[in-house]
Amino acid sequence: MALRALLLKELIQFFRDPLMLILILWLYTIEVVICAYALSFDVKEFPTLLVDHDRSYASRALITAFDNSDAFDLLSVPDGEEAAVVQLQQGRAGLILNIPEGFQGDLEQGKLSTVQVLLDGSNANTAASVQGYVDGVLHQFEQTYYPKIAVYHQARPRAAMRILYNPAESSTPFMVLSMIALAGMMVGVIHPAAAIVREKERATIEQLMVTPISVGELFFAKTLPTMLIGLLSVFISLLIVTWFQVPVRGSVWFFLVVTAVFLLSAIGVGVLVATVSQTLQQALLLAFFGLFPIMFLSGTLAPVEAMPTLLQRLSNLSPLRYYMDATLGVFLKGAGPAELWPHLLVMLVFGVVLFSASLAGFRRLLR
Amino acid sequence: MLLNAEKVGRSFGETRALEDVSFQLDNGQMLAVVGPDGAGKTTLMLMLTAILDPTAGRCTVFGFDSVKQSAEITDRIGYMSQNFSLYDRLTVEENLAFSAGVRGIKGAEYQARRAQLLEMAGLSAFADRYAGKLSGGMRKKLSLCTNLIHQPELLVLDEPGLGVDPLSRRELWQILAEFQRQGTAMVIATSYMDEAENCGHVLMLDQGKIVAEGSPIDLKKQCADKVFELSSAQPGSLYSTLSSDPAVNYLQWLPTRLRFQVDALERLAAATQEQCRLQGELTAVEPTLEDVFVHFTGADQGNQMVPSPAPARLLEIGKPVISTHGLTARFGGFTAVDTVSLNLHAGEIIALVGPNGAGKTTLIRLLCGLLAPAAGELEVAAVDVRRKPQAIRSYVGYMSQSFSLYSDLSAAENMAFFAGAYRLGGKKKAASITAVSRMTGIDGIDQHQRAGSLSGAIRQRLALACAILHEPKVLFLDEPTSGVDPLSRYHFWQLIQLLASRGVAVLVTTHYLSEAAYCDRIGLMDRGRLLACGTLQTLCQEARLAEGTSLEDVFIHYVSRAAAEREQAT
Repeated sequence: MALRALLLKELIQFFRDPLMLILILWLYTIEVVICAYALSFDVKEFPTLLVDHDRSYASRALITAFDNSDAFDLLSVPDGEEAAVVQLQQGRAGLILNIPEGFQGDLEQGKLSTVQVLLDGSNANTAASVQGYVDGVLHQFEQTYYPKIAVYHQARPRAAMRILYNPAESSTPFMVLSMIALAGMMVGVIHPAAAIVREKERATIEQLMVTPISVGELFFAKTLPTMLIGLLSVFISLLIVTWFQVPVRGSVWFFLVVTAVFLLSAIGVGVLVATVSQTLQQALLLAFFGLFPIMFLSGTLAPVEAMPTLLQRLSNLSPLRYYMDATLGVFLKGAGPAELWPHLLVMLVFGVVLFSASLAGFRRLLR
Repeated sequence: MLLNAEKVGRSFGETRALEDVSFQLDNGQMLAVVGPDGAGKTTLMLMLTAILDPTAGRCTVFGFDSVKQSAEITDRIGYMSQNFSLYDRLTVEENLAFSAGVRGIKGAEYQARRAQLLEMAGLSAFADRYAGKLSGGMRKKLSLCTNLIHQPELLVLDEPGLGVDPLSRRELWQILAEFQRQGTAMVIATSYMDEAENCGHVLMLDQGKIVAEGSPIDLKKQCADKVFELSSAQPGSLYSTLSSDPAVNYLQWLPTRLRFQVDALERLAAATQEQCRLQGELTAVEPTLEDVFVHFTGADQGNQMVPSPAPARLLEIGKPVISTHGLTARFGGFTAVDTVSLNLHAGEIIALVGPNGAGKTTLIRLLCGLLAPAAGELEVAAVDVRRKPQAIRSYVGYMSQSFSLYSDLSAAENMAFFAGAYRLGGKKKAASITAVSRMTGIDGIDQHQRAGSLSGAIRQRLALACAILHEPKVLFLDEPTSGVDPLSRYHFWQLIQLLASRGVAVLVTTHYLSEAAYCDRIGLMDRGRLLACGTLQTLCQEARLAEGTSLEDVFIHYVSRAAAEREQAT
């Protein structure tokens, strides 16, 4: 009776709180879309300057090759290197391709010719990608126009590369999936925290404590809705996943199980945040205070492998890291319980620990 | 003329908060603006202080237009809002220095005023204390000081006495009186009629309009020969006769007598007149401002709001419902409730009065089982609360200071939720919701309106309804009438008496000492101690005070006696 009344109340309140509804929808849709487009590591239309000292058939062909590539956007040709470097410094261009005099001559004699590439390295990630594209265009150019030299180059052993799971090497699937994982974390933490702190703020929590409602019932009523919302949101995220044409190779049902186990940890953190904060403002600040390290350590924004050893070890403590891995596994690699049970187990341990700790904290709050 | 309001009005979207308000104020005058919650008092204050622009009419202060020359006005006035405008993490001194700095008061001038104000407010000894660590009354006084540091010509105060204990309220008014003598004009919004009584001029607001204005004496004259008291050996039958007579307004059941308003005695039905003459002693009494207010605002509402039969109060002298012995609560080293022993019987109403921080709320929390006592014994409905705090929950109803309702749920949803929380189900749930909403009169309102958009008085009754759905044996009410207008307060007390007549034991805290008249016994609390508990008569006798001494004076007597005893002990 009391539990039904509590759950009904939470449900009504959830649908009457436009801010929370918008926040959840925002995190699962617009935020994912923005991040997928904005945080792309793929290089497109990179602003490029060409300085042509050779003015030959070969140099024009090379310029055309760069122009044809989607990766580069050729800006107007400047007068000499100095002007080009100024533009690089101003940030209007990111790459200067300097074709020396005698470029065509060298090529025709079958000699190795050099072009100078000046690349803005301030953003290391972008620079590395651009470097790859430059190599690709140059290679293409050789093969098309100077197969003789190309043959010479091909004499070296080459790696027979096959990119698995994401053959287009697009960063979009990774970004979309990690943002969805992150949204799950945020909603899992913020929703129960807000639901509890609001009762504290309005002093209704005391009113609840004089009713025969038990601490267990109240805890359940404060956490179950978040679990349901988190699981329902999986279906919203499937829409987004389809929109970005990210493959769904594994089982959606298994992903629901993974999400449920992960949400135990997130909800636990949320309740703990609520037990120590007095106002919604405090709770949100505190939640973000905790969310950022968890997010950074999870490998969402930078690969865990690139972190210093200490942080790598710390990242083992971030439940989001395992959820991230599992999410990528289910969607891109079609992995299931057979492959992901260790992740599931670790998350379950974290979940049980955090959830029990939060129940204990909640009990102390109400006593 | 210092202040001139010409047909001032203000709308918020569709809602008209204030309409067609005109009045004037001269140098050194004191004007009280009274009215219930939502009458538009705060809106008016905000317009006088040039914070809010009127949507109709105009307002000039010191001859400056409140819209176009707002900076000229704000420089010359002091404004104390309802909420504390202090910085908790600054000391008393720093708070004062800050407001002086903002107003450009420096050097010797500041030192002189600072000393004078702190002395007047009795805060000299606390200059280095954080504002956040002061008691509620001291904070109000400090807040007033920060608004007086630049010696404004006009002081605007929004509910200065709200939630402040009688003692601090008296001191607050002494400061105000002193500044008025020096020529400061004041506009004071208040729901305390005794505060309005101190002012030369009173403006009564209801639903955004002026319903009456004039000096307290003039206003009371308009109600002369309309207020009567009836003492009788059979108050019960007289009460039912009077309450069913349509000519009777504002019928109050006080422990020793009945009090009511009627336009003229001849208006009463012949049978009523006859019965009054036979069964009781009828006397015309001096009207109070509260009577005047009710006369102008409540006439049309009559007694319709609580369609209840007369409460027949019979005290059962049996086993007490609540019994405490040496009850003590501590927070760290601070003793919030100090060895309180108290018995409460079925059908009895006890009022706890005392300054902020006296331990009233903490005592109630102990009695509800919300807080574990550090020492002492506590039994509620024959259950040892220390051992089984959960077991008393279905016997206890609790209404906290803030009317703890879910503002995003409707009235009906709030009640349905609390009924469920008390494990009522099915027919029982529906029946108790119907009974309780009829009794509290909330069946007359739109049940689907969100609790957050209801007026203070209705929220108060809804909160009470939610607290009594499970028919508790004991009801704890923590300042249930704070900030509510006299008429609604009276109706609320009628409800409490009705509940008591059904055998519910009621413990209530209040800052309105006049409300103690509705109670069987009065408990005086200070610094965690229950100094005394009894009827006003026995309290007077025990302290060897003349009978008829006001409760305020009795209270102050007991507090100063306790202080003297403490001093002797150290």
